Amino acid sequence: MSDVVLAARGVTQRFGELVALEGLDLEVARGGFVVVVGASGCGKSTMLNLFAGFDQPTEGHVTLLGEPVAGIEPRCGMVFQNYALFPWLTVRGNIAFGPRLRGGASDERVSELIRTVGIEGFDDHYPAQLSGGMKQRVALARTLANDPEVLLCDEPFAALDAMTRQVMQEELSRLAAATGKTVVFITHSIDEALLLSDRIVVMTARPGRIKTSLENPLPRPRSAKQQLTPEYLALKREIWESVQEEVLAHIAADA
Amino acid sequence: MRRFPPTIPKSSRLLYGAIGIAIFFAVWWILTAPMFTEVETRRVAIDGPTGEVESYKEVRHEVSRAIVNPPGLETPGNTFRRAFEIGLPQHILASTLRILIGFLISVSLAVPLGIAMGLFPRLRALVSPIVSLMRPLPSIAWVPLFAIWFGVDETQKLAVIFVGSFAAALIYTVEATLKVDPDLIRAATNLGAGRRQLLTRVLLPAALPNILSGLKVVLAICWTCVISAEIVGGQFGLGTLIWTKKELSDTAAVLVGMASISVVVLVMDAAFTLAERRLVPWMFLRRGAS
Repeated sequence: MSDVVLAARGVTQRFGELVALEGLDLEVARGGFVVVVGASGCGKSTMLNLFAGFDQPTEGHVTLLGEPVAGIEPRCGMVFQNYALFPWLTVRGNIAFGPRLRGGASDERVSELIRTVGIEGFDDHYPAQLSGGMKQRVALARTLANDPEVLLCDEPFAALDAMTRQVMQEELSRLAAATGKTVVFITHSIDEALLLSDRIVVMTARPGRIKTSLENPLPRPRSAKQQLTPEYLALKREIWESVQEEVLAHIAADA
Repeated sequence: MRRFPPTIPKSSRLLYGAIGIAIFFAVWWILTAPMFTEVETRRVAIDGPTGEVESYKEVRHEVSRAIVNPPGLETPGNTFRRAFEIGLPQHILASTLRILIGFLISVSLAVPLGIAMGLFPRLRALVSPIVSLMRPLPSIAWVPLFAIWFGVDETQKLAVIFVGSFAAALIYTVEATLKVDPDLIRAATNLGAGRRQLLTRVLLPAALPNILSGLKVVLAICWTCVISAEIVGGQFGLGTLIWTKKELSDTAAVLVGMASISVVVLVMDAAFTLAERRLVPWMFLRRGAS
């Protein structure tokens, strides 16, 4: 049990009449890469907000390293779909934002992060001058600068074009392996889940719970080539069927 | 159509702009030029030594025919000359100083209050109705009241500028604050920013571009205010100038005053844009440029 970094136990989240999550249980092991897939509106983002401490659950509790998450938790670093970079800061300024709040960021550390995410030479560029893929690299570096226990990724590559997305997926796999960070990653894409994850978690339609949790046995490093192997296709079908039921349930509930 | 909206290169744009202005002056010049001269022939009586008409003489006589006669419209040349005869610099300086002082007073109160209103919904609910009542009033509607209270001194003019611009400055600031991307606040909070740091390091720089573009409009509003305020008199000011010259039917001076207002507004606007480029340089960047 000691290697459980992040856990949700019996978490229910209500917003007035709306029950977003109900009785959600999830454990994330140290260094694990957990990808959460589910129909839209199933409460994936709600769950991430609880992990980051943006919200408090109506019932149940969320723990980080065994302690309850009571407020904003900077040890759970968020990566947003729309990057959320500070437009008035340069690449360096954005990356140094977190450390500067606590008194200072060493230039070497920022330079190191710039190399880590592969944006050398763009140090003094503003976000407006960068492509989507580059922006997300900066956002990753900014989150890593705080040296968080857990990376919470809220569909970070959803706004990227297909080619860039693939490059970024490989980069994130490499980064996660290199830094040993624990990652909770939300996506709509089953392919993305299969490419990135150690474990795939399927959520039910609203109110959200964990429906299935399965280990991803595909060997690393993974690449697009694997997407044609029978093993990959069998896994994809299994997840797809699980997700599809929930999508249909969601549509039925909305109708 | 290849491209929509259709565009032309910058050089052509400048050329056409210059042609447009040339046409404007040409029309003005033609309207006031005594170019349609007619030759009239008049019979003039020639008196004899005793006083009675002795004979008649035909006199050829040139009469100029401007389409629009003075004082209806002055010629461009006369208007231009008049600009150097009416102490224009003092009038420009007086109005500009009033505007800058009034604008600064208005902004230094409206911006902090507007940000606070953006952050505290109760304060917003408290102040908004008053602002909604103040905002529809054109600045000139305040002129009589302040003339009673303050006479025709500087206080009266600054007061008109203040009430005429405060509500707009406030509303622009509130809107700019509310428009800040919530994800920026979430990101900064997640990175460990406290309330104070959120305000100074995220909210202010995030809202600044929209606050500035609002204040640019407010600065133009200040001009309508000062011209209204100067109607009631005073020694100097472009508003005072055009109203006093109107009493004398001095069309050229009125035109000069109007043109001065236009030019000074344009110059101030350009200066403001320069300041914006320095204050929020990241808003003027494009992808790929460095």
